[in-house]
Amino acid sequence: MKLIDNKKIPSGVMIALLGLSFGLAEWFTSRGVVANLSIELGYSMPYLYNDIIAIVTGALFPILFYEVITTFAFRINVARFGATAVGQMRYALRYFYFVANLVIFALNFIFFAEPIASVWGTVVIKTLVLSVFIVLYMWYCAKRYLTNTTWGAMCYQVGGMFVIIYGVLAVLQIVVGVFLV
Amino acid sequence: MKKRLFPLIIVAMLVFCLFGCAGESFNVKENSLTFTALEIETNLKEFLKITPSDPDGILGNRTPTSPSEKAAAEHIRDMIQGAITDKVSNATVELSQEFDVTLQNGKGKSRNVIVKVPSTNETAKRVIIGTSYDNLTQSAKLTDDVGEASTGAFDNATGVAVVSTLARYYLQNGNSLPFDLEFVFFGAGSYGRVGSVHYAREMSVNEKKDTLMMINVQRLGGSNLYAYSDEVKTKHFDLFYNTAKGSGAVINEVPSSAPLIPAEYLSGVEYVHYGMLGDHAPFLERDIPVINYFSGYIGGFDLSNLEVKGDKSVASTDDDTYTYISKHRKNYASQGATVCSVIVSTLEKANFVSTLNAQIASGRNYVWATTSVWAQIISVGLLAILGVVMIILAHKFEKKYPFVPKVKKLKIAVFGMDYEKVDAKEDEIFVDVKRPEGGNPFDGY
Repeated sequence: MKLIDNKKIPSGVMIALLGLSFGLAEWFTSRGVVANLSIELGYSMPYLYNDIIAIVTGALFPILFYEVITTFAFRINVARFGATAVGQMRYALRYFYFVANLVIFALNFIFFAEPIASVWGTVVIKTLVLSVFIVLYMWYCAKRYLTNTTWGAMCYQVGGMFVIIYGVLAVLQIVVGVFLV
Repeated sequence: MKKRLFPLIIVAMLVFCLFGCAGESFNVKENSLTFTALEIETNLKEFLKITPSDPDGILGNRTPTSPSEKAAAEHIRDMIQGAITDKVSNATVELSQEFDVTLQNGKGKSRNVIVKVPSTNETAKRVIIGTSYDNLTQSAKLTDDVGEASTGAFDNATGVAVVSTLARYYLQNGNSLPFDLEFVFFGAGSYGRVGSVHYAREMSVNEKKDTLMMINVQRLGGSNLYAYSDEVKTKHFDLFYNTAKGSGAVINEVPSSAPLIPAEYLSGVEYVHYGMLGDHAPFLERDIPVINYFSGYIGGFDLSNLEVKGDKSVASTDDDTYTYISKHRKNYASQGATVCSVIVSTLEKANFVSTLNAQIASGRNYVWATTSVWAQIISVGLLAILGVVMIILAHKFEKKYPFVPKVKKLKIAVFGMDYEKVDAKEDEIFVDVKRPEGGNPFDGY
């Protein structure tokens, strides 16, 4: 925990590591996307269709999305929690997401043994693991960076933001899956 | 120690993924096979109309709905008809199914060639053995097959060579199996598998009920020979697999590490892998057991539908010619002979019909697991529960640790330095308004 509190790893490095972890967490899905590209585009660019590209492409969009969302989400909370606490919270969140992504990556190996489990697995595992880690993160922040009078506000702000973002994404997937496909 | 353990676990999982999930396979020395590689090669050359002066053949590229595709269908019919003997005088070879193919610029026609070899025993049951005979390169303009270099030798003249070899075998030797055989050469297979979809759609309820299974053969000559039957273990796969194993043939299961493309090719399964692609899919969708024999290289870090490790893939390209595959896909003939031998040996098994009947009875009972909508709903439910918990916790914390704002009074000190007074309270903030240089602050009032 001192690693987080003392900000021993520079933010830039942490963002790169987090991006890599997103790539690993999304690897199973993005290797299918890359395989599809090989069918759609033909075999003229064989160097594009491998696991390295799958990890890199799997990392790019999620890390960009993450950084943009968290920048705004934390900025609007500066007045509520204080600039120092918000800075610490933002830094700490990257660690929690990093570990959560590695857990998702490890659990994805179930699908190599049992591909049929991947349809439910990719959806449910991600939600479950991230939910657990966001609760742990809030507990961590409450203990370290926030006064007990702001715990309630944190539940609303951090928990609410997480639920809304992932909820909207899940609903969108249902809509796309049911009505558009 | 713990720091070292984590990377080790990751490496171990990667190794497991790349090698451990490579699918069951066996690699025994070649055994006695009913068919020879030469037969497959001869049939492929005959189909493509290869002569010493035309090393790639004069059949044309067989683009769906094109004149050369039609000529190919008629050529297959003539090829097979010539093999009918007295032993199966009731066999028929027909261009009986003509169907529309919707193209970007209108409609075209394609056709299936159907060879029926009835059993000598009176039966309604049948087994379908099929493959597609057309070819589509990525640069091809539909209905215009002039000037196309590709002749679809790998994809899918190799399949035609195998199925025509099997058809000829039964036409020459007779069909004493307890079921009829139907060999189908599908048109427009490379254009959304229109031919096989049409065939499966045209089947009556009784025909569907009486179809024991469908066997598809395609794209031979790649690094490994694969067999695929369904997303779960099937009884008939084991039967084919064990027959092959017993004869020393080299056939692999599709590795579970094959990339899963997020799309729906087979109804009810929200992903696609290379084993699913082919003319067997419309039959599997209709709960008819299938086996798909194809070749390729699935494994390592490459995610494309690679044919041979370390070589470019030629399917759907101008290089898909006999000249190329005779040098770089030499395996096609031996793989074709292996597939023919395994199919014939398995069909002759005493427990073939009972195994297939048992498989049909069990059906595709996994579709609930391969559709994601319920998983998505559960996911939304989990998030909703988390949201409710957050609201309850927030209320609880706000009640237990109420937020008491510190109210500070703002005083402006103008006359005299009030803030210097001894009894100033802690919650008083003073703002000193400095008099501008050389002027009275109240000038103008």
